[in-house]
Parts: sequence; structure tokens; C-alpha cells
Amino acid sequence: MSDKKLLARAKDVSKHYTMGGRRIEVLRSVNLDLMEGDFMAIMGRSGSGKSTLLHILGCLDVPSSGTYTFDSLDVNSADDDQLSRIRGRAVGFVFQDFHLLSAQTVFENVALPFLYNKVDRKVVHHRVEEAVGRVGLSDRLEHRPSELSGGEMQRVAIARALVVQPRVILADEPTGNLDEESSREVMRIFTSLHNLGVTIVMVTHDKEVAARAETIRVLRQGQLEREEAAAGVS
Amino acid sequence: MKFLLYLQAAVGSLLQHKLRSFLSVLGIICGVAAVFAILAIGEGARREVLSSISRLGLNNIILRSLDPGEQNNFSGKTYGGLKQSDRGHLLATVPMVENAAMARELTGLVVLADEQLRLPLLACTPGYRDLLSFNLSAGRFISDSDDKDEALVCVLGGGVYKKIGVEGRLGGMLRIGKLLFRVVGILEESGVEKNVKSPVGTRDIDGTIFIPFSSHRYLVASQNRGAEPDVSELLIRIREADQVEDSVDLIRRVLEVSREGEPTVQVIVPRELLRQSRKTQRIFSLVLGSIGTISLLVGGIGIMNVMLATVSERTREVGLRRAVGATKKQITAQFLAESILLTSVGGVLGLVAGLAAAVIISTFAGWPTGVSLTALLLPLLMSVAVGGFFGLYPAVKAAAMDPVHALRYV
Repeated sequence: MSDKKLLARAKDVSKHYTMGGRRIEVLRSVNLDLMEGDFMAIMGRSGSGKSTLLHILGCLDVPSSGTYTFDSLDVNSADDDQLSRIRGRAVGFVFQDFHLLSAQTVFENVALPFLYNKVDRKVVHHRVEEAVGRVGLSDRLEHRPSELSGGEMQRVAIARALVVQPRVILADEPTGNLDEESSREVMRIFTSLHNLGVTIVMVTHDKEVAARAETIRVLRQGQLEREEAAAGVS
Repeated sequence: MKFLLYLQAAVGSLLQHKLRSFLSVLGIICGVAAVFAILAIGEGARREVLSSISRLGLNNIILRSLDPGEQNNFSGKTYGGLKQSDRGHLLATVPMVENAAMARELTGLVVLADEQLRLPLLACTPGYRDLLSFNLSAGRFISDSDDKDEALVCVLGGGVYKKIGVEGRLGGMLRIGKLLFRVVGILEESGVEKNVKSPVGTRDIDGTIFIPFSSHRYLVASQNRGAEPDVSELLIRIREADQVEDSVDLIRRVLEVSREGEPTVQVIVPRELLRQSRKTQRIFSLVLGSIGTISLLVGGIGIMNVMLATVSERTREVGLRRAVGATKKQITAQFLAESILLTSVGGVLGLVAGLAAAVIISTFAGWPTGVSLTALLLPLLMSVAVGGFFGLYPAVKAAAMDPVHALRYV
């Protein structure tokens, strides 16, 4: 553990929203260190702030107070373009409902992040094929999302997250919309990625899924309560 | 380069809703078609007017007798306006006059082997051709000696030669009234359609037979012989273009003095006509351009409406694109590319429709149309500008979305 490098650090991070004139505290003084190569599960009930924390970790949102540092960059003081660049090059998101573009093929969906990055066309082809190969969908490159099962769509979403070779993959309930078989397949992919050294943070309310992570953190009423060792990574 | 990638993405996105995309650009298609057709008709009219005016010669001043008198047996007209002596007066007293030619209009009965044709004759001095710059296809024009000797020779307009065929061959004899004229020259056909009424009253050169000015006395009534022949037209060439305006006043004054009163003469100044025509053209273009612009603006409002709906229904997609690294500028550029692509396609389709409209108008209404580079580029550029202008607000709105809220949008 001690030889791992620090990737991101949240210190006293709080987040609140104002809705209908009411202030809603979502996160309260959250402290979290994310090391390179970690596989962390964040658990908690609905509305506990799991997704909000994940969005802050992925620079999609910024804390209301406290500091968050990602890869030595102070996120609080970064401008929108800098945050976009970090998301495009260092973060891969996987969402519960896949967020695939229905009119585009698997190849185009996976290549989407490169639309906003300067990368040679040949490299794009190579990277997309490699990422799709890792999730076992090499034969589905020209298919559209409507021609895929739920599990396959989530695997495409994982390939899209992987394609930029990010510093961290942030998965928000990645198995929430999947059947048991597909969930197992998705978790098998995450585990193999972790074994390759990819940093993964996964939000879930499913204990069985969380158990596949290296560490589990629990969010309750906006606060990270304790750190648990997971059942183990296989 | 990136913009090309956005365009590529935009094509896919627009093809997803083909009918909606088509309906949304219908306004642009109509606007561009209207602007193009209007410009094409305007250009056609402009070219026609310019061609008519330039045929008159931009350094020329044309004097035409007004108030024609009674017709005689040979359909020659007598005029109270210009006199033969006016030519000499003007050449002697107006230093800016370089050359002058006179002509008299007549109508002659051309007797052919199996038909008789009533055709316009023009009795003119030799300089007439030089002043109006029309070309010969064979033979020669009226010469000084023809005029001096009152020779019975004629030169046929290209159209006349075509009409009467072999009987109008070079060197042959043509009977006009009771006289025989030798054909000494044939003019090149100018290609100007006879049924097109020229706005500045240019002569139908193709359909005219030219004879020496002095010879026309054989064709007019015997009671007029011996008197100074009337002149229906005096063509005057001014040495320098910038002297034309001043010369007009001087010529009027000389004619007034020689007659002790105002001459019954119409003065046509091609250069002035050209100036007025250009001014009219500018007003015409401004009015029609405004109409076209209004229709394009209405089309643009339609585009904005559709783009706002598109942005709204693609909120989650915007969230995803922001999540994978798109900056606000890139989102703006992407939606702008879509609206510009939409209006550009509309612009191209509008040009095709406008071209078809111009062809139909030209064919059925007989109006001349002309396609200039401006007529092609202006509507196209306007449609691109409309796409950019009316697509900007929806694009900025998309870019300003909070990515987290956009991802959670239901």
C-alpha cells in the first residue's frame, strides 16, 4: 500500500445544492485519498451522495467547500477547460444506464472521447479495437446499441472509458441495470482491469458487487463513515 | 479539421431525423430560391439593358426627330425635327464632336420572285456603321462614293439576308419598290431578338436594309425631291467620355440657335441611360434583396426553433460529451456545425430550386435571366450566416448546461 502513488485527495469536501430555496447538504467534510491502482467501492443508500462524490472525483463537479486535488491539480481553482481536459484524458466514466449514442456504432461510441482530443486516426483505430477487444466485443464493432444486450452495452461503455487509457475509471452503479449473468461479466472485466493496474472507483449499493473491490467506503448522510476491507479481489 | 469531424457527427445526427431536418430547412430553401430567382431575373434585365445601351455607344449622343409628319406613297416619313444641315453645323461649332452620321427611316416593299415583304429601310451616311460598331459578314458597307453618287446599292441586315435567301446574295440585285438595288454587303447577325422591346429603343439592325443617305430621295414622293432631306436620326460621337455631359447642352444650344426656337428633337445619351439604369438596378436589388433577406430570417427562426428542441432532447448526450472531455467551446462548435450544415444544405437545395424557377420563368414568361457569381454565392453565404446566427443561441445554451444535471436529465 505504501509504495502506491497518490492520485487524488479530497480534504474536508462538502457539497450542497439549493433547491426551491432550501439548502440541501449532500456531502459533509469528506476526506478521501485515492492511490494509483486502487479498486474502491463506495456504498450507501440512495441519496447518500455516492454519485455526487463520484462526479467530484471525476472533475465533473466541484466541491462547495474543502479542497480536491486530482493528479496534483487543485480542482477548486481549475477553469472549465482544464476540468474538461482532465476528464478527456485521465478519467473514464461508466454509468448505470450506459449513455451510449443510439445512432452511432460500437466503434463510434467507443471512439467518442477522441472527438475532443487530438489523436492520430491510426492511433484511434488501434486504441478502439484494443479497448473493444478487452471487453470481448471485437466482432460487434459495426453494431448499433439497439442490436446489443444490456450487458453488452455496459461493456461498450467500459471500452469507451478505457479507450483514452485513463488514470482512473469511475463507475456509477455499473451493474444496476444488468441481470446476474451480465453483472458477473462486468465485474470480471473490472477485476481483470484492476489486476492490470487500472485504478477503479465504483459506486454501488450491492454488497455482493462491492465485495469484488479492494476496499469499501460507506457514505451515510453525506459522510464517509468507515473504511472496510472488502472480501477480496479474485 | 476538428470542425470537419463535428460536421461528420452533425451529418449522422441530422440523418437520424430526416423528415424533421428537411421540414426545418424548408424555409431556408424557399428563401434562397427566392433570392436566387430574383437575382437571376434582375441580372438578366441588367444585362439586357446594358447590352442595349452599349450598342448605342457610350461616347455617342443620339438625336431623334420627334413629331413625324405625314407619310408619302413610299412610306417615307417627313420630319420637322432634324435637318441635313444640322450635321455640318454641329461638326463645325461643337469642338467635342469627333464624328456624326445621319439616317432616315423608311419602309420599303421588297419584291421577291414569289413574295413581297415590307421591310424597314435605313438611309444613312457611311459613318453610321463606325459609330454603332456592327460587323459585316460579307462585302462592304455604304461608302462615301455611294453617298456622293446617290448609288442604288444596299447592305442587308443579317436577319434580312436569312429571310430572303439567295435573292439577297452579295452582288445580286434586289428590287425595292420600283428600283433595283445592288447588294454590296451583308451584316453579321447580332442575335438580338426582334420581339424583345428594347428599353432604350435600339434599332433592329438584323431586320433592316441600309441604303446610302442621298439615295433615299428616289424612294420618297416626287414632290419632296429637291428639298433638303429630312433626317430622323443624327448620331454624334464625342471625343472624350468626360465631355459627353457638357456636349449635350452645347448641342441643344446650337440646334436652338439654328432654328430660332427649341428643336423638336429627342436627345438620348447612352452614358446617362447607363447611369440611370445602374441606379435603378441598385434600388431594385435593395428592395428584392430585402424581401429575400426577410424570408431567410423567417427560415432562420425555424432553424432556431428546431435547434432548441434538438438541444433539449439531447440533454443527456450533452452531459455525456462533457463527461468524456468536451469543452464548452467544443459543444458550441458541434451544435453550430449542425445548424450551419442544415442551412447550407437548405441553401444548396434552394439554389437548385431557384435555378429551376429561373429556367421556368425564362421559358414560359420570356423574361431574360442571367446567373452571376453574386447570385450563386450571396444566397449560399446568407444561408450559412443564417445557420450561424440562429444556431448560436441553442449551441451556447447546450454548452452552458451543467454536465451533472445534463447526465441526470430525464
